Amino acid sequence: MSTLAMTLYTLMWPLIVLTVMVVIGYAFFADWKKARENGQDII
Amino acid sequence: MNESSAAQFGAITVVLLLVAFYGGTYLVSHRIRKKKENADQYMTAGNKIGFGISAASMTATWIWASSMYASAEAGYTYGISGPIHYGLWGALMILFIYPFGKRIRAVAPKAHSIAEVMHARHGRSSQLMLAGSNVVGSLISLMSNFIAGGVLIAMLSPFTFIQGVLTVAAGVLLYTLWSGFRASVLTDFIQVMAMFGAVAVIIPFIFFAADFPAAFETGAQNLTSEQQSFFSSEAFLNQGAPYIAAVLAYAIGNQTIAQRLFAVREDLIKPTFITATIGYGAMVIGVGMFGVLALYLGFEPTGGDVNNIIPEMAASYLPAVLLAVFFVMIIGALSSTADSDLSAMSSIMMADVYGQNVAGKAKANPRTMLLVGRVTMLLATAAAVSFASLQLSILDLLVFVGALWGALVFPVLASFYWKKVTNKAFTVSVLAALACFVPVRFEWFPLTGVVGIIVDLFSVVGIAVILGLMCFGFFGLKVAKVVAVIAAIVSAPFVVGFLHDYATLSASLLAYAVSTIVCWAMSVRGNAEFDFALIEQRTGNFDDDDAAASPAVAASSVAAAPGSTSHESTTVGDPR
Repeated sequence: MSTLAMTLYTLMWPLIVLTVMVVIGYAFFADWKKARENGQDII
Repeated sequence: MNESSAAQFGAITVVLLLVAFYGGTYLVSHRIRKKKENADQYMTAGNKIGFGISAASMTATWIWASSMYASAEAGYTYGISGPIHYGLWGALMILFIYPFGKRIRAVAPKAHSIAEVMHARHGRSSQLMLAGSNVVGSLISLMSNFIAGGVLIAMLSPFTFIQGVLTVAAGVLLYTLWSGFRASVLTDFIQVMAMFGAVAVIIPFIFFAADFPAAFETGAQNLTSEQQSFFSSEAFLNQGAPYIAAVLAYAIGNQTIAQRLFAVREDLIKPTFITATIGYGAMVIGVGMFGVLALYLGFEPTGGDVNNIIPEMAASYLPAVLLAVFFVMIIGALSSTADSDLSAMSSIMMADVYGQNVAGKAKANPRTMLLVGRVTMLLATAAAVSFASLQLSILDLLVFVGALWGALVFPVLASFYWKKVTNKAFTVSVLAALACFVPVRFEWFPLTGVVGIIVDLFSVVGIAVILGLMCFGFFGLKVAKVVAVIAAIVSAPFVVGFLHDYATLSASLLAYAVSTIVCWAMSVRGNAEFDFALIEQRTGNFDDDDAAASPAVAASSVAAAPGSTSHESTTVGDPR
């Protein structure tokens, strides 16, 4: 694999992790807000 | 112990980090604490948790310290494809179980464990076999996480291994004991955010600090041609293939996954499992890249111990602040899995042992159930700490248990779809598979000549079963049969006369094959016609609080509880 390909191959994983982190974080706070509006615990 | 990186932190720093981590986690769990906890919520949080928490929890639970260390080891040993052959298949364990998970929730929406469903489907022997294997697996996992914590603390601080083990055990128990699964999943969210944030920063930082991408060129001579190949057959055969065999086995045999399957809102199963698949895969493969980078750098871990790769890379290239972040990442990874293991074991003892077998579902006292759950956590922690001090070979134990779970996969999955599977077929097939598995796994006789060929032929069947089951979940029976036949035909020339040299893989495939053949043969001619609707009636809530909310379900549940007089009469043709 070329240097560029290896660089992308190495650094794509933290980028994906960051994306999943944003997705899960957004969903959590949406659930939290909804639970608070309904006067319930999130869990 | 790695002398070169010992005492990276002072005692006060480590104590502050641990107090901040476990203290913060405890405070979060304290916010949801109830004076009078509900027994069902203690096990599955009311079967209705949302996407954010469930996806975070599934991801956090599946990522443990060993998966990061092992992925880096794969990268260091097999080169650029190594982390893929570890992380990808581990991630697919989550993905491939979700179609089965949807079916399991459809027939048993309020269950607490797959073993409990097996009790409703078959009876006591099937349930206890599955519950027993779940407990053993969780105890090994718990012990492994305590060991990882002890090693990390001993490596990066002046404290000893035993002090580290005790600290991690006490910290995890502190926030999990009172609220059980509810505390586990909520704290998982915080832990996974910490882990993800750390990985997103640490990987690029070490990458550039270690002089990459230039080092890809200067260090290329440190890799063999196999290690440079993205399609390394060596990496596939030694790392990837045994994991493919274990994909379904771990997902079925691991109560931590089943518990989350029963906890998440039913319509969110698919997005939860897919998100967790991507999150786990990216995280573990990403951390595994440390092993690849170390290989390019010509980095040699102290004492040749590949478990030192990650902590030594971190200690070598990270400044003190990021080293603290790294420390929290590993502590978070092992704690999130450890609290899940405690919750898994407690729910099995509550629902499967006390609820179904000691008191009986109709008479089970929710207060006693909670006591059973908490005492289980205390005893499991004490046992895991004791075993951790023995420093057993964790990966060997896990590979062994994982292969054992292979014997359960077909009988368990078939029991959710095929009306003809009976308790006798389930039990005999699993025992027969184990009877074949053990002598092959431990090579009690030489796997040569005719014996080797016979084992290979069963391995071909095992490969067909695994790939067939994987496809069955997504595409149905017809496609599964076609894939299974093609898999057998294609794999046979490569397997027969060759694979018996790999005893671990052969034994695992043998377990799949024997359990499938025996279960199928004992069921196909039978006249059993199980009514799957009965499972929903026979499983469900134990606690009065929930029962009061749904009296009709509770009444039918009690009326049809296993062991009650109506149990046998409602099962058409089932010879239990």
